[in-house]
Amino acid sequence: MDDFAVRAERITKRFDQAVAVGDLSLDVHRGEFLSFLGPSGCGKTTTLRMIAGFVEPDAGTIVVMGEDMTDRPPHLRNLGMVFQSYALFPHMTAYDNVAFGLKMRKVSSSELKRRVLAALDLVQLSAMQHRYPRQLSGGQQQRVALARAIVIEPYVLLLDEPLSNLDAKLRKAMQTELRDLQQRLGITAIYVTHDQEEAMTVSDRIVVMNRGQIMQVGSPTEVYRKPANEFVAGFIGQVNFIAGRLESSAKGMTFIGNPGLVIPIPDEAIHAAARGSGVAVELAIRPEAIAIEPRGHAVTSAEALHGLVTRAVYTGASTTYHILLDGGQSIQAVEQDRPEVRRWDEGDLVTVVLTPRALYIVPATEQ
Amino acid sequence: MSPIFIILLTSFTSTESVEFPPRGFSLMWYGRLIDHLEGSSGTKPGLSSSILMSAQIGLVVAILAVVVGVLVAYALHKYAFPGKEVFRNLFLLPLMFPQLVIGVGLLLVFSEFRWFGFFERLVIGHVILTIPFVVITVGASLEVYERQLEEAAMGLGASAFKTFLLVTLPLIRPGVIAGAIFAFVTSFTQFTVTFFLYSGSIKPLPMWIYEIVVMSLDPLLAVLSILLIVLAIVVVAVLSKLVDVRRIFGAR
Repeated sequence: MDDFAVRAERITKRFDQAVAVGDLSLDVHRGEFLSFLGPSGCGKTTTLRMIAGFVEPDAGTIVVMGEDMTDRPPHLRNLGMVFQSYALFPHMTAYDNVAFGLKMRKVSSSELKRRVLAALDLVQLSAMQHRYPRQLSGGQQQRVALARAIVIEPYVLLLDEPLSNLDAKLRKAMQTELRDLQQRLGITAIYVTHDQEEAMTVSDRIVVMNRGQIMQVGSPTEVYRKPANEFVAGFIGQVNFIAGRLESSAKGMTFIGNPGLVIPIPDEAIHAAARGSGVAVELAIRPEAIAIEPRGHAVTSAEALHGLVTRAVYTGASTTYHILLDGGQSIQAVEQDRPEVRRWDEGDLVTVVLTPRALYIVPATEQ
Repeated sequence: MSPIFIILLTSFTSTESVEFPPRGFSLMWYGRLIDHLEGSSGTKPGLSSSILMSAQIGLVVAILAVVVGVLVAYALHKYAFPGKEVFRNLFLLPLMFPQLVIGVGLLLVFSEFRWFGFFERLVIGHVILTIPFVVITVGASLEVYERQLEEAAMGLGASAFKTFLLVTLPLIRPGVIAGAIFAFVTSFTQFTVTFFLYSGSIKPLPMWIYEIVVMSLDPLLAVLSILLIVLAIVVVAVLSKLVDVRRIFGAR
């Protein structure tokens, strides 16, 4: 046995002629909370359903806990699945829903009762055990679905956008709860979502997917700070791109962009695929890593650019400024709403300063 | 509605034959019906055994039509296969086909090959007629049924068979019961196909009624008709509790 809960090796799935998942390989560690993140149609749900056994891969193998599951029907895989629609059995009470998997496993009646009640207790729904799904709120149904999936002590917990039908506030609370529960049980969880904030909140690692391919696998910090490419940088949070190229000199790499932007870049801020002199790259910088100073303020650093505020959007916690740089490019900068922070108006001439440590160079997407 | 109204009035007549407008008001013919059921002298024999016969046929027909109809509806709902539309129409066709043709066709087949006894022949004829009802009512139930529930059950360790038994079947039960009732009532009151397939020894209720009509227009028929109408009303009432009847008939 190895240390992997799930190993997907070169799995491919086509629907008609369209490739839903193409030659995807991935290892999921035991006890890890891993999220598939990407836009709809990127193949994340298909990948999850292949692991669950509801979709048969056209090629490749899926190994769970050291057992080859590729050709095994779903009911023999011992995986716990939570669906977006909850998929609770409407003709069974919460108790019977949770008991279903144990009955299929022919667990003795005393043990069954103990485990069902423990699982309901875990999701704080013991008081609701005799209710039918239609008598429960969306959040409570979600908890029953969760209890039903974990009570069978599955090899892996699979969650397909489980929170997307809940309102924003409940969703936030459930994210934390889900993460706590996963940590307490020490269970491996694979989570599918299109919400980057949700993925960042719950995951140990995030798999960013696009068009059936893995774009990047990394911790929330890695995918945010060191995105593998333009797609990842753009999908996870807001980001500004400035096109240019890299030049190497005796002192190291330098980014040269328009207009007249010349910035020395430390090696660790350059993605492997973007290295090399003369390669077309994008300089990525998050809006919150851009400081705004008044024009005329003595600017000496290489990371300073002149611009004009074209729009200011106040959202309470922060203000987003749209700034037209002198070279003709538009960028966005975000400033936190603190009393000491100066507010800018449309038409103000400013100087923006890019925080050197927040710069990251990614390969430009080929057009 | 007026035929029903006329029949209702006629059933309460106090005369010996059908007259319109009926004269007098009495429950005389309802009393006669009871005489018939008891097989008293001066009545045409065999009413109770005909009712029993129709009920027996109806019951067997309902069971067989449900078994076949559920399997067909489920296959049509769940799987995509070549010739699916042909397959679907094959099982819905008897609804649109003239019953006369079905009756004559079956009669020809059975007299040529001498398969089965009369009871079985009637059952087969009625099952062919009633399968479409079950396919339609069960299909309507399956349409509102969430497919992911089956995946949930399988994910929890239920085999395909157990999933069908423990999750799918309980959830489409209203459609199954509705189809069974439709099948029973259709068989119980079925005339055309029955006419071609019955015999003196196996005489369902519609044939017993038919044989009276041939001899005389008896107010007893009005009484029987009223009772059949009451049965139909009860059935529709039960059905509307079970399923969305409008959905079954395709109105949205």
